Amino acid sequence: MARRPRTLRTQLAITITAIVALLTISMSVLSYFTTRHFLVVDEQHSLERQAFQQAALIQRELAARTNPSTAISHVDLESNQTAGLFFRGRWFLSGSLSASELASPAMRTTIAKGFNAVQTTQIQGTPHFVVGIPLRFTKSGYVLTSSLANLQHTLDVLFGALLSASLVIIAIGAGAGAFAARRSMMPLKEVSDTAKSIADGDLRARLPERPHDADLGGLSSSFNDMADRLADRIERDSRFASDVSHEMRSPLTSMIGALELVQRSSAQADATTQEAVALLSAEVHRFERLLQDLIELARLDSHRVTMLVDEVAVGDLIEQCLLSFLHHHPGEGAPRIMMSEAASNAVIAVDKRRFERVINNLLENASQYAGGATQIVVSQHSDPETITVAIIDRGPGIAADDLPHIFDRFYRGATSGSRRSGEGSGLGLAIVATQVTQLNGTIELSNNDPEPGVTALLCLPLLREPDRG
Amino acid sequence: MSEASNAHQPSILVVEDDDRIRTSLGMLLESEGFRVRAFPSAEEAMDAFDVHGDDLALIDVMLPGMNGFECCTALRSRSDVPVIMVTARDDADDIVAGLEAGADDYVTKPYVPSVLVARIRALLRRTRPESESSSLVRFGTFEFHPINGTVTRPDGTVLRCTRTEFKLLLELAEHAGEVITREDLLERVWGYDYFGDSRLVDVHIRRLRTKVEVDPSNPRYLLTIRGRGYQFAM
Repeated sequence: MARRPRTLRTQLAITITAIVALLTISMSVLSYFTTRHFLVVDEQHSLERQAFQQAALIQRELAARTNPSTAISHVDLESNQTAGLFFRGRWFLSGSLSASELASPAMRTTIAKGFNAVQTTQIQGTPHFVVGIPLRFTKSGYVLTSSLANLQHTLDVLFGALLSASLVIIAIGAGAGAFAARRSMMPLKEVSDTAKSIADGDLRARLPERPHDADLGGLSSSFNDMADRLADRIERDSRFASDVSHEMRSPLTSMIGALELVQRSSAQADATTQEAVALLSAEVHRFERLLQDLIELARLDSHRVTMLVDEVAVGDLIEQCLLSFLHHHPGEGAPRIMMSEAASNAVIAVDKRRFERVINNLLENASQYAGGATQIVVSQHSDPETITVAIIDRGPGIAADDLPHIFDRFYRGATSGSRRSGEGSGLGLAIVATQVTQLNGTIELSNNDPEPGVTALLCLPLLREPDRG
Repeated sequence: MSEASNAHQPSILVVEDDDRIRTSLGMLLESEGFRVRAFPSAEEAMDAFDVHGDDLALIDVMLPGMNGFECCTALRSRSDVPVIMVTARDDADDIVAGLEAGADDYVTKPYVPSVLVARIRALLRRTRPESESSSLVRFGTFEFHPINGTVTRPDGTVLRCTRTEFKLLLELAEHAGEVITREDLLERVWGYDYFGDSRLVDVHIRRLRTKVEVDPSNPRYLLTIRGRGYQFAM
């Protein structure tokens, strides 16, 4: 299984957490061992002090001929202590341990040689301190031992407390790390959001300038600089396209005028001349349509088209669009319009001319590729409030390879054999797509299934309920 | 109604700076039976303008020196001759500015000759007084004088209207109290028989309001009925 590469944010969060964990653990370990050292040394010293005092006491009592078993019973002991007196080859004990447990052979030897002995050892499974002191009699000594169970318990509690505190701090550190990582990645998210806006067509999107931020200031200003240049470049390109189209208008206007006159007088000319004039006329008019489409697209691209919003009943609007289309395309068959009363009466706030362009181009497209639309189905949806217009033809449909490109400029399809030659600019659907986007709607072309043909589905937001006043 | 008789060839004043367009336009209009007086600049056209002789003016927006809008405004100050502006296609600002300068209609460049000729003929028809029999029409407290194209307001003020404004106001007044859609007005006043440009109506109504209404921003007679059209209220 391939491991997913860690994101920058995760890496940052992990690093911060690791540093916090390392610091916390070393602090805990240090405090644990320091505390333990001091507690143990303290315990040892106090036991040694106690042992010397008691040995001195027993020494005095024995010197006063007190019975050794009585002498040992005079010694004050804590519950965790055992004391032993070795006198003339015999052990006298006070406490819970036996003589063999109390003093190891090594200790006995050391005491016997007249030296003090201190030992830490395990007795009955618990750690004990043992202090042995020789007495001033032959073969005699005093041994005091103390269980370290209490001390061990204290250290265990300390260990537990430090461990849980460490875990809590590490958890908080991890949270803070994640937060800090997210915070510090925020500018990056801003960059990516802005880049996305620009890619989506908002050429004015910019990052906030951060002149006082040494790290991000440079990024912001160079990003904005890049966006400025890009916008400049795009604007120059579109201005050039627009200028070219506008410049071609004047020669075309005089050509159309002159051609009209030639056409009138060509009625008396021979057949070849008439044919040539007809060809010229068809081409000039195709050129005119192409130019008009180019100018329209350049305008749409520049976002300088004003919206002239009217509130109109959908039924009237569709009817007008169809009438206008039929007026401009005599000889086209009229598609059947199907719409409910509610849809027909619904009021839409829209720029009528731009809406008409969309419908006109969709009908032209259907007529070009499928011999005309057969049906227009208008329906109203309440959620969200939209009006959909489906323009349906019974043509050969769109090849799967062409589908993703149908809204591209000048795309005519690799398999467009059925296209009537000389018609259309190749910009009709590109204009539709741009217009519909600017009208806040959607447009989709898909093949009918299982019947042949194509459905163009236009959705536009409906702004108001039918007026029943 | 018979069209232009031989005795009177309508005279058209053309203002167009492009020599070739001017030439082809001249030939085209002459072949349609119009008399053409063409000038390359607004200044020359204004000098040569004949208040009584010219029946219609065709003005290009883009002109050197005085531009088409200024030319139209200057022409309006001297006459109510019908004006068609030639604008860049679908340039909404140009179209509205041209209409506000007083133009009656517009065509976009490159224009189709048949459309241009149809627009010219529709405007010339409108220019001729239609109801010569009645010299005065009265609707409510408004008086219409078709002969000289003036309207008398209820307070006695006499308004000079262009022929298009006059016809539009008359159309609305004849159907006072009814809502008339923009499309119907385009058909009845401008002669458009299909999806026309409703801005023609809107700008003309705006112009009429500045003449008819006491407070044009708060109209009392020429009412907009949202989503439907316009209404003349008595």
